[in-house]
Amino acid sequence: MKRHPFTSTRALTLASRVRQGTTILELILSFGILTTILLAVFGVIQRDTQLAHSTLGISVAEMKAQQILREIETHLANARGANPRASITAELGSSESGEIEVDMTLGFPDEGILLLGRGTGSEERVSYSDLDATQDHFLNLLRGQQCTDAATHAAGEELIWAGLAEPIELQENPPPSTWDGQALESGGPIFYRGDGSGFSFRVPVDPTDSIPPNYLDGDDELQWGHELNGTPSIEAWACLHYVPRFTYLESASGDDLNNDGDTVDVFEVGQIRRRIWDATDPTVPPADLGLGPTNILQEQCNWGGDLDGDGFNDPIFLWDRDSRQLHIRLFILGRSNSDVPIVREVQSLVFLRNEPEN
Amino acid sequence: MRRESRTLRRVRSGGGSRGGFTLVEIGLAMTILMVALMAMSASTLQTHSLRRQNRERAVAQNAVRLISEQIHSISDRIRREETNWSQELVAELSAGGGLGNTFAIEGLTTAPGEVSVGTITVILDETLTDADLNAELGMPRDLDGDGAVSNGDVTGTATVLPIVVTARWTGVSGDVRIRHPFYVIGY
Repeated sequence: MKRHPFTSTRALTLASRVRQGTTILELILSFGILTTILLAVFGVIQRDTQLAHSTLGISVAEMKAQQILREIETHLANARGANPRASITAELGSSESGEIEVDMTLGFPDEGILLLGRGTGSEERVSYSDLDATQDHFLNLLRGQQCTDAATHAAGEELIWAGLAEPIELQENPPPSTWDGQALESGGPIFYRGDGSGFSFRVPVDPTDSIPPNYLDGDDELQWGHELNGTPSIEAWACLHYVPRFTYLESASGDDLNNDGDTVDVFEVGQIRRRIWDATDPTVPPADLGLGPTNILQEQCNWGGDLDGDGFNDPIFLWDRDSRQLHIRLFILGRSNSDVPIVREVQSLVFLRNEPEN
Repeated sequence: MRRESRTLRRVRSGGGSRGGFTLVEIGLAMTILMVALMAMSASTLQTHSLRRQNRERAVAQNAVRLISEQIHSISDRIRREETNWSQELVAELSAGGGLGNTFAIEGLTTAPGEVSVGTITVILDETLTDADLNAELGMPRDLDGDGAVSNGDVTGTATVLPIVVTARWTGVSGDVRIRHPFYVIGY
């Protein structure tokens, strides 16, 4: 007969002592150590994840910035730049919303914002949504845009496309009424006028669409225009311009995006778009194309304002027709994770090889 | 007695597996865990370092492109306004000239032994080869249009000029250099 191993009393006593296991104190100590280790592991994993997210977010923002720059440079490779300016030919009352009569609208986009009464008490931004086929009227006005008030503007007053930013002639102690901003260029600060949110241009075209293309006319002069809806046209113009899409409040996240020492600024986040239109026939549908993602920063009511806290303005486009240099500055808003915004600045300079528009 | 000892051994061996981990097991598990965590952290840090390298390179490339476009613009202005294109351009791109022969790049640290991160070199010796210049420019080349490739200094006579814009900095991965060779044309 086989005996059970625990039939012996001594053996049972010893076995029960061994099986007694850990005491409450040992258990608590073990749990304490385990919890500490687990917390430490979770902490490390969380920190690593945050760092990885941050790295990814910053990389994406930088990559997008480069992508937009390269796209802009591609579109401007053969371009000749324009400085859209005009003179009002009939007084514009403060309540007028139908049209502005000017000497010439050539070079102005088919829709946009005009800057009138610059440097005076009646400075006003007016948006328009159409051009007249006769090229001397801006139509369908919205007065007093971008934090300005509607005012009366006399005949003979100059207006510019607000998108344009061009250096003024007098750079030594110019009167404040003659300039809208001061940008820091390689040779030092430059006084300029305009907002610098756009750039109007044309490129060589062959309106006969022949193969191989012939960009010269009968007088062996280059023909300028753009391809509009798949057809090369000498009546077509193009522009790059900033279009805001949504607002961003510093107070929402408590971050000082433009390094000005406060967190109360309001920004617009938008996209650079390329628009092509027919300057002589407003019935031809324009072509509109977004270049890159919607994450370009501008301060609300202060487009072209200082975005990096260096004390100088930062217009997106600063066009110097004398040197044919187009300075491009982009401030890209990215996110390192859901709560932390990051701003990356990229700059480029494009020398336009062709003579500017007259 | 022999039976009791066997029983005790059995109980101890059975009870040992039920009674938790040994110090050796815990030590092993923690070592594996630490190695895994350290590998993960190292991977994240490496990614972060690569991103910074990428950022440095993009900043340098943008700056080099910007300076190159400026040189094209200056060359074009001198060609339109001045009588001696090459002489004026060389003066403009020399120390103390309008643009100078060095430039800083914000965010990049100057490499040891260098005055600035960016340098502009105008090649004036038409007998130099690409190997001498460490650049693909198609040199040696007749730069002054006299039909010979023999002039050691074409200042004042050149009609085309090779230029090399270089950025050299001390980055997260050490000494980094990018070069952008190109020509400017004076006719």
